This record gives sequence, C-alpha cells and structure tokens, in this order.
Amino acid sequence: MTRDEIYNKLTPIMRNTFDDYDLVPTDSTTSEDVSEWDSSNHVRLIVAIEIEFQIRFETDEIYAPENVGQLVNLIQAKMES
Amino acid sequence: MTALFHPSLDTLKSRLISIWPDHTDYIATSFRDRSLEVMATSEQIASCVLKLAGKNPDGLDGFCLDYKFLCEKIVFPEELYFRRNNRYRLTRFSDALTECYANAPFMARYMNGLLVSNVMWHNHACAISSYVHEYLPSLRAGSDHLEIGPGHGMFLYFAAASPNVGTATGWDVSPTSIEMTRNALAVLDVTQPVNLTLQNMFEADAARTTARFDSIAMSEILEHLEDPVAALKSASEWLRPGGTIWVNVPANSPAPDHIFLVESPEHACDLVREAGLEVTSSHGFPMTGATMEKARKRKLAISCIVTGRKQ
Repeated sequence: MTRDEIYNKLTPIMRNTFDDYDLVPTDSTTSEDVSEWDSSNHVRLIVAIEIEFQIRFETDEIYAPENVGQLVNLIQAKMES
Repeated sequence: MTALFHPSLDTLKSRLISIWPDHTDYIATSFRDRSLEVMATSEQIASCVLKLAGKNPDGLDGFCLDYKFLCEKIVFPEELYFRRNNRYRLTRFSDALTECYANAPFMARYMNGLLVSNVMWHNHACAISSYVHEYLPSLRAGSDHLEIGPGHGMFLYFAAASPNVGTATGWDVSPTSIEMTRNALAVLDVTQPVNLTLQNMFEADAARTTARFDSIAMSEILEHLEDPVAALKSASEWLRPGGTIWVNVPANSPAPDHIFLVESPEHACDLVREAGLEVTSSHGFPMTGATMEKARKRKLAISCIVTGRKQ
C-alpha cells in the first residue's frame, strides 16, 4: 500500500478518534498539533488502525512514532512484513 | 490561607513534573476546570500524601514513581486489552488474587500510585470531593458509619473528621490492608477512634445481628467483585432502615484487578436498585480531559457515584 493510500484510510480514523473533522494529518503532524490527542485517545487511535489495516502493534511500538510520518512508516512496514 | 493557596498541591505537582516531565500537559488539563470545592479537597489529600510520603522509605519521589508506574505499567496494558477486546482481561476474583493481591511488592506500588491518582486524576478528585462536600454533610448527626475496604484510608480520614459521623468503622478481609489503613490513619493524626476490623461482610450472619449502621461507604470495591449486587445486598443487611450506602464505582476503567465491567452511570444505578435499595442521587465524573458526552461515546472511564437508601 502506498503512503497516499495509507493516508486515505488513516485520515478519517484520526478525524473520528479526535473528533476533529477539519484535521489534515501530514508527515510532520504530532500530538502537540491535535487538541484531543492524549494518551487515552492515542490507544483508541492505535486500536482503530489495527482494525482498519489488519495489523498488530507490539507494545513498545505504540508510543515509538514521534509524528504521523513515522506512524505511516510503521504501518507500511507492518503491512509489508 | 486563601482559597487560592494550595501549597501541598504545588509541592506534589512540581515533584511529579520533575520526575515525569511528559505528564505536565495531563496535570494542567486535570486541574484546569476544578471547582474551589474540589481544589480544597485535593489540597487536603495532597497534604495527606505528603505526610504519608514522609513515612515511605522512598519518600515523595517513591510515591511519584509509583504513580508513573501505575499509569504506564499497570493501567496502560489493561487499557490496550480493553480497547482491543471490549472487555476487562480478568473476570474471576481468583485470577486477580493470583496476579495482584498475592504480590505484595506490586500491591504496595499499586496502592501508592492510586493514592496519588486521587489528586491527579480529575474523576478521582471529583468523586472524593463529592463524598466530602455532599454525602458526609447529608448524614444525620451522630451517624454510625462503616467503610467496606478502606484501603489507603482517605475516605475514612474524611469520615472520621465529619461532624455528622458519631462512630467510624472499617472492615476489610485482608490483614495487610487493615494494617495499612491503621498506619495511614495514625500518620494522618486521626484522633477520633476508628474501629478497624478484619471482617468479611458475606460471612457475617446479619439475620442474627442487629443492623447497626446509618451509613456505609463502598468506594472502588464493586468492580473487584464477581457479583457486585450480592455484595450490595449483603452490605445493606447491616444498614438500619433509612440508612444509606455511598457507592463509587468506575465505568470503563480497565485495571489488572477489575473483573466486573460497569458500562455507565445508569448501569451503576441499576446495580444498586437490583440490591433492593432506592437510588436517591447519582453523579458521573468523566476522566481527565473528557466531557461526559465524549466519555459515553468513546467508552472512557467515568467515576460513577450512587447513593442508595434502605427502605
């Protein structure tokens, strides 16, 4: 799956998770940029991604990405493995 | 001391932030909208935490590290399981006993962490404030009050100080817990006699025992039990007619020893009614940073406060 295809699926997940329907995530987007991106909603985001992309994060991967770009990299890597 | 002067809170918050800088935003969010009443209760609890930390071998830093441990190593894995599976990981008391209660070092850190959470977590702080400012003042003067499972002792601390509480009693099934409560109340200079007893409410034969309490508190007990309605029924047998039970039970709050999933404040009220009690009041306090609407929609943690009266 290309990065664009991942963003096409990831964007509505993030908008729904954070109740921010104007959100346009980019590679440089971080939790600092999204008002409701706290630890609890991060777990909800991760599980929603797992369901949508049919992948499973290891525990130490969940808080590893520092921005959405790194999260997309991780999703891509897990889909290809 | 003015209503805006909170030296114990300032000390606790600054120490916690120095140990866990990443928690700064969470703390700011948690304290952003607290009422003066909640802040007053939080200041009292923070003062208690500082006193208890003075007797802790690892001091206040130890309590702060245990709170961080609670959030990252205890709650987080359970939250992940809950989100993936829509249920708590454990459902049997025997499993919670094996994993948690039988592990004394783990339980010590867990209890210390929960003590600090009573200050730092918005829903916990509001629940205790509700108990202090609404429930205890509602009791008739001279009430005989019982707390089942007093744990860290904070609720008994406030009950013993209430002008409406004539006698204060605490029951627990664990000798270790009874000693912890006893030690905590001594450190906190509770001068009113508190009768702490090793007692299993299910084993007491209420049919042959005079109902002898006007008030019973069960704070964060029901979610640890396989049959909370049975527990409420058993507890209510100790109530005099017209007596009240104050219940604090979290909804959607995964933890390693939470085995009964309460799904909403309405579910909590239903449990109290099923036990044959009349619900006279109920509140829901959503977790830090969430509105009640969002907490319901997203199945986030809500502290559910229900007062039930025996007819």
